[in-house]
Amino acid sequence: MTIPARIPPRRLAMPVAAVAFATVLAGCSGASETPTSDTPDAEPAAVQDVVFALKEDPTCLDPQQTSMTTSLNVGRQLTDSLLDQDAETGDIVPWLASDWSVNDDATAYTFTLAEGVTFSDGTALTSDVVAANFDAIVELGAAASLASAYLGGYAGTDVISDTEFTVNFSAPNVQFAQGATTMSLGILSAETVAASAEERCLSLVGTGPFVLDSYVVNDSVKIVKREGYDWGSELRGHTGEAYLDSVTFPIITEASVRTGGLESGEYDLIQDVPYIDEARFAGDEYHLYAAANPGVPNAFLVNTTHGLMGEEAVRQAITKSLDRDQINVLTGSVSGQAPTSVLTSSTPGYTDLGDTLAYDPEGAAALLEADGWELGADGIYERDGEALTFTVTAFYAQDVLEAAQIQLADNGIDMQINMVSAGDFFGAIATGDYDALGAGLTRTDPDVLRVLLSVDGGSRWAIAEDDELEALLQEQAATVDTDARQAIIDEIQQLVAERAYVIPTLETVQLHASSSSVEGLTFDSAARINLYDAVVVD
Amino acid sequence: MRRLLNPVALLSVLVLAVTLVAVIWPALLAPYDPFDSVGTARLEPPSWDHLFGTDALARDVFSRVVHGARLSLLAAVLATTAGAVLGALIGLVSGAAGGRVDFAVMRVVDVMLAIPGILLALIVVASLGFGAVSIAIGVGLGATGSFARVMRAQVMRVRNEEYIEAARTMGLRRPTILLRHVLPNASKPIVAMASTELALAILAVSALSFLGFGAQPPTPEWGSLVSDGRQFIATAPWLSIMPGSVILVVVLAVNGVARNLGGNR
Repeated sequence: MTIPARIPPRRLAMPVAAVAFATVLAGCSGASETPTSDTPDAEPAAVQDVVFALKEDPTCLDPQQTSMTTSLNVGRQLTDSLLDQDAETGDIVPWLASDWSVNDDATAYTFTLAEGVTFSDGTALTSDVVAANFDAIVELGAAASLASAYLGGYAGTDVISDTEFTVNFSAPNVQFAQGATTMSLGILSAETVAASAEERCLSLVGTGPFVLDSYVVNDSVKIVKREGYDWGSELRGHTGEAYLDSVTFPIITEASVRTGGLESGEYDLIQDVPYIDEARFAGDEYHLYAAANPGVPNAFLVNTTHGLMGEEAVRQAITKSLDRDQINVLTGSVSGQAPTSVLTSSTPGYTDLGDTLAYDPEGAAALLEADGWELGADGIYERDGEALTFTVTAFYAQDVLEAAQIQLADNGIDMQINMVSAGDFFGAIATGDYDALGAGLTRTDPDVLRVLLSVDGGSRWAIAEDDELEALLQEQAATVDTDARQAIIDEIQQLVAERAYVIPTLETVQLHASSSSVEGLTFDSAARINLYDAVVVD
Repeated sequence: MRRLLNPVALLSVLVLAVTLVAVIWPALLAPYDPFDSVGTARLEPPSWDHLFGTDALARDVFSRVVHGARLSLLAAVLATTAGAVLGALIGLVSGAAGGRVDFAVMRVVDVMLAIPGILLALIVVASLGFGAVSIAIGVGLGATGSFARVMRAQVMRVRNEEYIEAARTMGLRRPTILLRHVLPNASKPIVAMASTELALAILAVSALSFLGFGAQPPTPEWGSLVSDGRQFIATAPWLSIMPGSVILVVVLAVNGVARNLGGNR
């Protein structure tokens, strides 16, 4: 038997895959399905090409600019980051930077780059290129909202030598190390960084284990293996080049076409399996991956400067009128759970606030009646002839909104749904013309609350206008001591949940499926897919 | 008499009568609240309790289809009426004026006919915003061209009739002749055409609502009901098939009646 040199024998690959799976499963809260590895004779197949059906057009491939999960799932394969984060423990480990340190007040991070790393266009990774990346992100500003938020307070990069540099901040920035593990701060080549924002969306050069081959908008993306890649982080299952020769991502927006295509063998992997189809892919022929999104769960992000949302009693009544367990049963994955805080249970720093977010219709009624609201003839509360109504603007998760709507109507609160396109959603954010947004934000650090709520957050979708909260958000970002920071973060979660600035509805679980011939799919700490360890077996 | 005994026509009239009840008084037909969950029995297949089954949020699909009739059908009726009235007006003016005016108006109508109706409707909806009324206006505008064409041909035919000559020699004013003598005699084909156009309008309105240009959730519309069931097509196919079948039956019924009433056999 001859095995191609680049693919290790099965007995090596298998434990690796198993470890990787274990990591994934531990990282998310109770995955539904343990991918079984009960085919001991399986060998890496001769053909290492897979087809991975995406649910939507990535729109912009540049991981520094996009915040779309679909796009980041592709972008992760093309770019590496300075650091990597263990999905299970949250520990931060070296990647492109072989060593790093931070000063006492978290205003200066010094990195040492790994030796021999090159971009796929042949140029070397140097301190200058990294500095150019960070400078460009700050220049992109709003176009790179996530990346800019991670670089909050950026005050320039001092290049010490070709492999050593210091990133400076004008104010303490404790979340930067975690930020540096995200692909939002993935490192791109000097040429890519110099290109315009639009050009970078369509074509980019990174140091990743795969290279962009082609991207046809609304049709497909194709990536091929990077020859000579040998700088994966220690969290990866193997070293050297990726196992897969190529990955083709056709864009298949219809969920039933993706699931049907997986069944027929047209696709090897599919993104976003509808929860209702979980049972269909639970058999031995498939692997089902349930990855809980860390960060802020799907929620109503309120705008307290708009309509009735300025009234705390109304917001609290809404949060008490939601039976989150039932929403999870009706619209969630069987492996998911109802949100019990304004951070998901898989986010570092999460605090269980199940009591604050419990279903309490009597409490809601008492609050509203104390505030002068009376139940009208149509079963909706009224005050001075004004109905208790608010509108949620969203571009996804319509079923979650409808389930919430039914519950709120039962408790005398009229909720209107305004489903819009993604473009109109971000348009509404730009103008601030909304009562509440229906959305979540994925990030593996509690700082996500600052990104979402703070005046300088970059993605200030929930508008609280609360000085006490603002002070706490800034304080946690500047607190270096872990325990002290956690105490502040507990306080922030309690405050945000109690004053109902963020009204959680569902912990989103991303559900992906593959045929059993694809092994080794892993997820990073933000539940984005990593294909480096993936391998096709016979 | 012979027409009334036609079984197809009879069946069609029956279907439309039931549909009319659904439009005017949906609560009479719908056993459940279309917006509220019925317990936790989600994605139940059709049964006597739930004729069309239940959806993912445990709402009775039959009740939602019944309540969806009003918006879907009123939009189709509004679209057809708007298209017929506007088209008839254009055809009347164009046919009566003749000469350069006729030439100019007909070229505009040619352009409208060259654009597929659904595309025209999409353009209108995109510029007016989502909702049943904009869909109705869009679909109506899409149908205007053919109404104008038919009306013009009728006006051209009628205006050379002897009774028009007679009216003219009696010294009646032109608008009077147009409205009192030409319009009544030219409009019969328009009415016949409107009844067949109604069936097409139901389809077009449902198509646009399917594409997500209709009312905001949870308001049921036939098109959006079919669309909402799409993601469950492998596990709960009745969610799409049932509302889809209702659209099919109603469209066939409208056609059946139109064929028998319009003398378009």
